[in-house]
Amino acid sequence: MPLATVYLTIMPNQMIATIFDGLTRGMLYVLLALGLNIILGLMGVINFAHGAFFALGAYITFTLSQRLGLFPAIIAAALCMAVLGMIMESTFIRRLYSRPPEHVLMFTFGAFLIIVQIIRKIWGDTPQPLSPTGFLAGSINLGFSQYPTFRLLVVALTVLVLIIVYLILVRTNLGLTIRAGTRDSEMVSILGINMPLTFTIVFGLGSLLGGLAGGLEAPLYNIDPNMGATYIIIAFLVVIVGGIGSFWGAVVGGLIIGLLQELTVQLIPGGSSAEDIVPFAFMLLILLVRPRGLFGAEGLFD
Amino acid sequence: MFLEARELNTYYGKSHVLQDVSVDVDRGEVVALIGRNGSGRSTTLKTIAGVTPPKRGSVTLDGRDITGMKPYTIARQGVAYVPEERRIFPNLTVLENLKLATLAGRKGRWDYKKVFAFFPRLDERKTNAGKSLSGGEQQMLTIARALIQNPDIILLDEPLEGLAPVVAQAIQKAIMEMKAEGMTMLLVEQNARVALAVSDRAHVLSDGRIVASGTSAQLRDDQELVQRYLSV
Ligand SMILES: Nc1ncnc2c1ncn2[C@@H]1O[C@H](COP(=O)(O)OP(=O)(O)OP(=O)(O)O)[C@@H](O)[C@H]1O
Ligand SMILES: [Mg+2]
Repeated sequence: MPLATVYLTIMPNQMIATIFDGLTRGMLYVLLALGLNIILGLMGVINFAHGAFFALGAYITFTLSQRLGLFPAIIAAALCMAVLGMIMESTFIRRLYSRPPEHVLMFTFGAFLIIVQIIRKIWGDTPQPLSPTGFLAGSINLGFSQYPTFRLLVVALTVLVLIIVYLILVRTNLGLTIRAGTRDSEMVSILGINMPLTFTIVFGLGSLLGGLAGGLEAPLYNIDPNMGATYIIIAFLVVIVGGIGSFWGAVVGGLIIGLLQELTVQLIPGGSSAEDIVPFAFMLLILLVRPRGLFGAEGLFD
Repeated sequence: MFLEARELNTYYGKSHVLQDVSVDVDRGEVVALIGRNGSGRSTTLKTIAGVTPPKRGSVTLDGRDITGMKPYTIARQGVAYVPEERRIFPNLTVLENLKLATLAGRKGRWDYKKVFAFFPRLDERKTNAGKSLSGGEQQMLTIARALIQNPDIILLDEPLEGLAPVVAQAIQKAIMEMKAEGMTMLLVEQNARVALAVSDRAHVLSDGRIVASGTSAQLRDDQELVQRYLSV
């Protein structure tokens, strides 16, 4: 990385800040992609509605933050999405598992469109600004520069959530069931485990991560009804880059793509026009070298 | 009888695979299901386990109707199904594979200690991943997984298939020991000689129908039947 080295020596502080920005953005991708990937890995459902949950998470955070304050609003919105995900799985999606896979795909795509329309109806088409307030609006001196407190919260909260999800996967009975079910869910139910219930819980967990990503995104960038579409594409891309059904794939893939985008925008003159292309170029590169993604077939719940 | 399957009719799509199959097993009994490849033996076990529910017919367990219940509910009623493909979780260790089976299984005589004493080889490989096991070890694990659930009956599908002769003998010995412990089993086995040696009674399947039933001793001596339905 000669270019990066140049920047690092000329303006290291700017470089470090850019890397932090990339990590924050990457954290959102990690959360979103991990939720998507757990659902895809266990149930084989390509869940487009995940993008709508992300957007809805952001909008609910926007509305609730006026009453509850930003941080409680983010948590409440994520929990709402968990409940919505569980309702959607147990009322509709569960009826589609035994059908050809394109049926459930059409369903989640339809659900995505419907939810986005509902968002338009309630909150309108124009982008809404949401800024961190109070303590979260400030910045903290990290040595290299002042860094926005809210961005640090995004990093800290995501790391915490990742640790929790990881511990659930490796330490709990639910995690054992998920890891086994990702390979052969029918065999898990033959062992007496209530898989329909597990599916509902996991759908809730995945949707919670999507809603949380939305709530954390809201104060960083504007929120608009199309945000789900933009982000869900990146999330699928992260899943492909990282490997389907892989915990570490989502983590590493999300961080790399967030970093790449931020480096492109901030360090390359005119780079913002390439912001949307860079992740795709990176995906193609990875797929050439590792067709199953970075962690395909050796991930945690694979 | 403890397990009674009555006139099961099971379909794969339009193809009518089981036609009025009736099978029963009493407590402590080992009953064999024998027949040629494709005669519907595995489908009979799957139908009882709830994996391929029957269109018509019924399954009762100790008088309770379990027809049409989900596989996990049937398992919780005390039916352990050991599939032909073994279906060990390759990404889980031996211990984790067993742990998973205990989650919804009942407590009873078969705990980790007894299972590992029964299959010392699994004890040695406790922390190895399922995918690193040999065929014989996988078969031991899939049987161990059934035992540790402390079921009332085990549906055992071709436990000796594809194993080297020495290994197959070890598994056969294990099945005999399970029988000696009083375990109730419905056994599918390709090798009719072995099946009839291990079992108390047997049902013969041909093209999805039961064509003969009797004690294993009777069937062993019926040369004509063996010729017609069992020899390849
Ligand atoms: N999933 C399936 N879909 C469609 N047909 C099937 C399926 N599984 C089995 N069959 C068909 O049903 C019939 C009975 O199959 P089954 O597996 O019960 O046979 P089997 O007696 O266990 O023999 P073997 O184990 O040697 O194949 C066969 O004709 C088989 O081709
Ligand atoms: Mg078979």
